[in-house]
Amino acid sequence: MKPKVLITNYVPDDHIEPLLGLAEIIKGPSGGPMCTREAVLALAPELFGIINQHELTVDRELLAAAPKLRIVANVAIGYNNMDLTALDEAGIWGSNCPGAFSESTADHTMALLLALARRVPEADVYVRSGQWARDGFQPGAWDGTLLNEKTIGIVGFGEIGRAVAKRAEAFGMNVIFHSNRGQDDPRYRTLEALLAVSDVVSLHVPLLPTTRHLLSKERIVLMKHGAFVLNMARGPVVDENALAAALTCGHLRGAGMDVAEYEPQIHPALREQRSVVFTPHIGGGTLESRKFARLICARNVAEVLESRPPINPVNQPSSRKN
Amino acid sequence: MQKTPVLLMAAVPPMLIDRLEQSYQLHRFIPGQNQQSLAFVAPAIQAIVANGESRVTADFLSRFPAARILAVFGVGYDGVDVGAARAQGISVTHTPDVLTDDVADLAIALMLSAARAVPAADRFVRAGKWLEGSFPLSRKVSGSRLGIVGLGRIGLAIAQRAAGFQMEISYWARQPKPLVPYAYYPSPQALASSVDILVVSTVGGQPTRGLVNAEVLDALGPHGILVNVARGSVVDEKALVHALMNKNIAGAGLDVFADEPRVSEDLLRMDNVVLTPHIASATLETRIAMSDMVMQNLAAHFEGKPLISQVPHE
Repeated sequence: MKPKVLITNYVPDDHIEPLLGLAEIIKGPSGGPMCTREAVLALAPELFGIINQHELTVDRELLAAAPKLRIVANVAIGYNNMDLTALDEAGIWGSNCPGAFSESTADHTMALLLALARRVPEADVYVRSGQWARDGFQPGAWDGTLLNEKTIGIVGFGEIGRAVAKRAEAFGMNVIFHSNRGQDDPRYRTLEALLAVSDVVSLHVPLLPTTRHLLSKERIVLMKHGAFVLNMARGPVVDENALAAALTCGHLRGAGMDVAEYEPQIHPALREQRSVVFTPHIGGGTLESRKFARLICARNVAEVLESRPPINPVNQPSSRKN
Repeated sequence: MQKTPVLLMAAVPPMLIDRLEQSYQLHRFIPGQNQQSLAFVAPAIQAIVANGESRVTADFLSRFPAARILAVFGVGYDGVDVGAARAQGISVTHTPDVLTDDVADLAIALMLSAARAVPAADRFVRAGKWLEGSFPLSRKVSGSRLGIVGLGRIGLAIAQRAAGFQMEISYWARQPKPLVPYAYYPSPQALASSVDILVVSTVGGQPTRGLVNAEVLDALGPHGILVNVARGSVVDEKALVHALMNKNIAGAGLDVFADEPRVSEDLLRMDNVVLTPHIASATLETRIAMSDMVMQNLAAHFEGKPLISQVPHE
């Protein structure tokens, strides 16, 4: 009998091609919701591998119920759903999908920046309201911001940050960055120096205790008057109370928010602002990137099925189970 | 000293109006309004300031026998009867180059907004629908194929930006361009059938009227996205509405319309389009540069110096 691998939602076979023939695949319900935790726990005793969307809490309770489990693969870059210590002790691999979402996230970063700079959603609402037909042309009324020669300060210069830099340079923007690596690069700035000169501050750091409220009230005060903020990282990286206050008083010109501090709840003072463009955490998620990420997960599970380490491990299990 | 009488016949930014009033005796006349007063000052008018949307006919120009310069605030001048102006001894200037970057930025803004459904996603979040479920996935832009209809200054600036997204770039123009690294297609239809996103950045007017027609849209296909930052006249808007309604193409980002500022009710109701009110050149930086250019052309004319930016001879 083939080892069993659970995918907590429904996916077409061509997204998990490396596993076909190697494992008995159990798919989650088609048409939307993912397997409940109860459903996963009920299946757990038989499972060799689990592929999930980062929604499944992988803790000691789950691991205790899954004696045959060897790998949990996340269709995501993040893996804070996993208790890595517990995984290590149980000799189980965790894996993620670095890179799979970088290009789509960088594309979406530029989409939000251009939407803000040229007031696209606001203009779209205006045209749809029929007001343009009544007002006629109003030269000057829709003046936005030209990107050429503006400075974008990229905070967090990993794969996504660098992909944003490449795109921004194609618009003639000056790129500087802050990161805990790369201090030798001439574009490197301390965070304070970056905030002081950037026309656009774009956040691409993981959520860690040290990055929670990285953009705090004190740091927003350091920002250039009339600057834009882009949060493509995680909601709690920005103190949204402080951001809302800075937008209301005009210190900042606008914000592009693909994530929210208490998503899917939106800060009421931000929701009132026409100078904010919201998207519902879709930055990395395109049809192409999702398929690519699932293929990476399937490959990671396939490697472990063949008694090799996964290609993208997030831990180093201390004792292998056999 | 008496200031020179100048006619302003179209809407331009307040900053330019202020500067014109400082230097000239400005008569503001928007066609359709204050006809009588115009007749009184018309014989004295030495210069006319219009915008890129203005219709300037031979008949209209003949009312200003003393005018010798028509300064257009904008790059497009397809509404101006340039031949009639020349015949009457009137030089025509426009404001090229300075708005290239803005138009290219807006073309990419509309491309990304349409492909990643930014205004629709913004509406989704503001309406509280995120609390009820997730937003549908869209297609990836980087690495996809971009076709540019009209590879002039603006088309090249669009290509330069698209290269940052590793897009595969090809184009159609009346003639293949030497020294460009992009694939040439001999017709808009052939181009459309080979790309995911089609951006229109041609000149307007008679030569390009209806260039993007039903056949071109069909060739673009059900995953295709159309972006128009040129002129509404370049796209057969009835065919576009039909293609969008029947999902013959996936979406559109439109800054210009056939009968603007009136926009087809059908377009206003569609979720898969992004609509902006002809703002491709609308940035503060460029308003200033365009205003400078209008003032410099007028000054050069009245000082007997060469004009900064006359429209090219046909």
